[in-house]
Amino acid sequence: MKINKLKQIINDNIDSKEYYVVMHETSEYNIRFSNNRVISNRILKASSIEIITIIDKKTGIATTDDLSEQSIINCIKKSHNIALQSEVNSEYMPLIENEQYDDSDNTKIDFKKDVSDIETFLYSVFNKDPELRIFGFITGEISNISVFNSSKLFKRTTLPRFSYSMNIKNEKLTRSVWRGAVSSVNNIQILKDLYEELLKDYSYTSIRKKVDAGRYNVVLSPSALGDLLLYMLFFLSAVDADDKKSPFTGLLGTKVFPDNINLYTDPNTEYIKSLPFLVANFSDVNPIFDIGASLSKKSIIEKGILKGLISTRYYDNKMNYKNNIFPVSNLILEGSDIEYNDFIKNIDNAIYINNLWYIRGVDPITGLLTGVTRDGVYKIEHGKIVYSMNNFRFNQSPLKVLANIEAMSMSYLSCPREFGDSIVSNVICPYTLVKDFNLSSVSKAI
Amino acid sequence: MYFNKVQYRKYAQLFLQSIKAQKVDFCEIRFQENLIEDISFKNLNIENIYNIDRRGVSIRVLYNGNWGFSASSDISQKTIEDIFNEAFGMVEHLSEGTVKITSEEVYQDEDIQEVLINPFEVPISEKIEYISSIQNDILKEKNIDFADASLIQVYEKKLYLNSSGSDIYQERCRLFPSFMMYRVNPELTTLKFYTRPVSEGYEYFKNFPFKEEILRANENIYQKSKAKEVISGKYNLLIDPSNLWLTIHESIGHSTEMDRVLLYEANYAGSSFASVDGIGELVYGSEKVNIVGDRTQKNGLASVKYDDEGVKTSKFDIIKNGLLEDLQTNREIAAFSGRENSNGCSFANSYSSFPLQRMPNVSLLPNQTKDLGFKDMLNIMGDGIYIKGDGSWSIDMQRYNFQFTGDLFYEVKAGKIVGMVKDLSYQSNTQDFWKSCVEVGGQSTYSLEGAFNCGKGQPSQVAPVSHGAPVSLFKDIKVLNTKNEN
Repeated sequence: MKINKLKQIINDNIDSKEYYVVMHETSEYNIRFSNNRVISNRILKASSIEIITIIDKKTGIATTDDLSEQSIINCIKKSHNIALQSEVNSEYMPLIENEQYDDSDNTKIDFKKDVSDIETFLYSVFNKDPELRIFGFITGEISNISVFNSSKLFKRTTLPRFSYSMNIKNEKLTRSVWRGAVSSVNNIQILKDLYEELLKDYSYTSIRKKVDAGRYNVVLSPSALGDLLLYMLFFLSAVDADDKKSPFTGLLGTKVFPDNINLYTDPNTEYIKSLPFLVANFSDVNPIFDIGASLSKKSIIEKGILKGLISTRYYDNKMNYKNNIFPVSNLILEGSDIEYNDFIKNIDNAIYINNLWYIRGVDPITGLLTGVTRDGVYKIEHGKIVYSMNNFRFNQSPLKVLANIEAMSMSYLSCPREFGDSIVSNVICPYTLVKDFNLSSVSKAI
Repeated sequence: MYFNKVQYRKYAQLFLQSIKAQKVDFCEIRFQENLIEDISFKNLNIENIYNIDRRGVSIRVLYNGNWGFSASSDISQKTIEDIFNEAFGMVEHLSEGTVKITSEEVYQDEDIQEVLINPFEVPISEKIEYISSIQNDILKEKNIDFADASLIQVYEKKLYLNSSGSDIYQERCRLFPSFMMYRVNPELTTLKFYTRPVSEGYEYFKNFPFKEEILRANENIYQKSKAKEVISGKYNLLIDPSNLWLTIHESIGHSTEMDRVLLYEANYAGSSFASVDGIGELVYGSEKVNIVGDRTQKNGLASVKYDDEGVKTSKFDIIKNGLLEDLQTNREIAAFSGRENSNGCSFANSYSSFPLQRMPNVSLLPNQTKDLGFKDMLNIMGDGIYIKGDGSWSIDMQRYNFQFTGDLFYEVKAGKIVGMVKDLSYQSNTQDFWKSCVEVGGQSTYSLEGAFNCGKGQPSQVAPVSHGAPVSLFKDIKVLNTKNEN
């Protein structure tokens, strides 16, 4: 569906004076492999539109994947009908007017070439070493996202995203390592590098020792820290903070963390292309009237001071907040200028944690989370990884993690294993040395 | 546009008879529509009303031991040819793969779930008015400061045809009303209503006893806010089905998925401590523990007559008297492990999803010899903690180590409830936990709970599933105080 054709259908058929339309067009492929064999090959080309009708400040939202003219007309009617039957939305705000943005391009996925390159590589490493079993998932996705409204707002962007993840185990299933990578461009070299790095990680697991639960100094990889930061977003709602439902209640504008903690969002970061305007809901923050709003570089924590919470135009106007942010399209924790290798060389004694998994909130007041370590827990002694160990369950708040950071490397584009698989969850963060991390029990899982 | 099964069937039949379809070893075509409506409230204000119509078609081909899959939201004769070409194009040049599937019986059938009231036929204004009146009643209560509400309704239609000759049309309805209340003084205390996700019509929501539930919630949230913190240690736990369902789901439901056992999920959702060799050998729990997988269970969220590979579903033992009896399979997993047939556990959450082996309704059977009621179970426990309602959950990637919280925790002394405690989580290992199950309640304590959003697979899919359990007693379980993290 061409955007101009969609606009025409909307204009010809919509009765309400105020409306938003969001269109997603996606092309993607996925290759899933397990135990040295490809287990599924999938292609999807799909589109959807979301029509938000506003009648006398009452809203109705209808979505369809069927972009035939008749289906779009039905979708308009549905959203209209919902709005008519609804009640006045108390958070109504006038629509954003007259903003234009378009960085869309004609990027296309060369399915055949990509899939062929990837599978050629995979089959070249499957069974190369009879001891190794290789698992993983590779996906390539191009999304075109368009937003327009009745007040002459029109925005459109193209977001390419390629993600690679691989897990290597031994035949006896007593050793296991994982790495992931994301990129805005597909490059088979990323996958090849990932494999080589994994072989190095695998070598660390040749010695495995039993280590008891306890509080330890840990090094969190960007993947592990990235997942904790993504979960922390759920605590950053301005409404929840004011309603005493968040660990950040009463802390806006105050110093919560050490001076070296600078957390911000920046859709123009060079690391990976991120959404430049708002289209998504996030947790308790409901930005329905802010759709299409420009996203820009905004500070969340600056020199340890909580500068902004996640909010909407309505709530900020009501409460007279100046520094809050819209739901973010990425998170960046500023690191130092020390590269990874030099950072590790400076660690005298710590437990390195590669991934965190099954992270869930336990206490919304303290922000306590639980979860487990996964695929790479190593002892670092005198600047070197010396052996691997059992996994652990942790019970730890991400607020305490930020408060307890003792050293940081430079920041890297991370691939958070649990929450990092969508276009709105890019995290750039450093390797961090965190003191007093609570590994509360041992997990036998490998 | 609507789900035109007559037209869609013609498209599929025509294609399956074509020469192209004969090129592959197996081909299946699935047309699927998921109508979803979510009405959510924050206090007395409508937060959002979404109506989602997700409809499309997918083709999965098996060629030379490799799966190829493609899907489109556009449904036409030409689309079917196009997505076949894409699915086949992905695998036609691959070297020989290892995928095989079981040979299964062929069915031509139609199964439409009977519901008294289709939620999509109830005017939205009526639903809004009803939720609004409940919210109003909740917020009148003196102990409740905030209240969130949501009513998710799903109506699913699937038309499945395959190259073996199966032609199956099915409709299912699901409903999930949820209400969360907050008291913020002296500090945040939350409470959930015991509405549960069900495979029923709108009648479930209309008939739910909200008046009694609101009175209960008002009293309980006050008591919970005043409760003393639990002291860490080992306790006897009497666990209500409203909490135990989630522990069953995570520790038994997922660990007995054979695709996990065979490492299909090793890169993402994880594997399992169970093994195919463990069938008939592996001790999962005490002799009190009898677990069934059942996609035929009335009102079960995973219940359906045929799964998404055209296999007729059934009820089967997973754990019998504490021993592992069987694992969950789909056609590929069953064939891979040398079985003749799948036990019907395939599911795809949308037209664009590759069907995976997913959980049937997995339930703990009530006591078959003694009809022990709730009071009997309290007396048997003597001293301990009674846990009601679900909360936080987390388990490791092989389903050993887990930690769960709950909604309400009652201190029990000499078989009597004497008060509430708070800030509690219980931590254990799957086999240790189920071996410590010393008694299960009778049928009168049984209830069917569940979830809409069980996640698995890459790309990630969610699946609805129910879990039934009686009130059950566990001895000497490690309890943590979540406030002091110990």
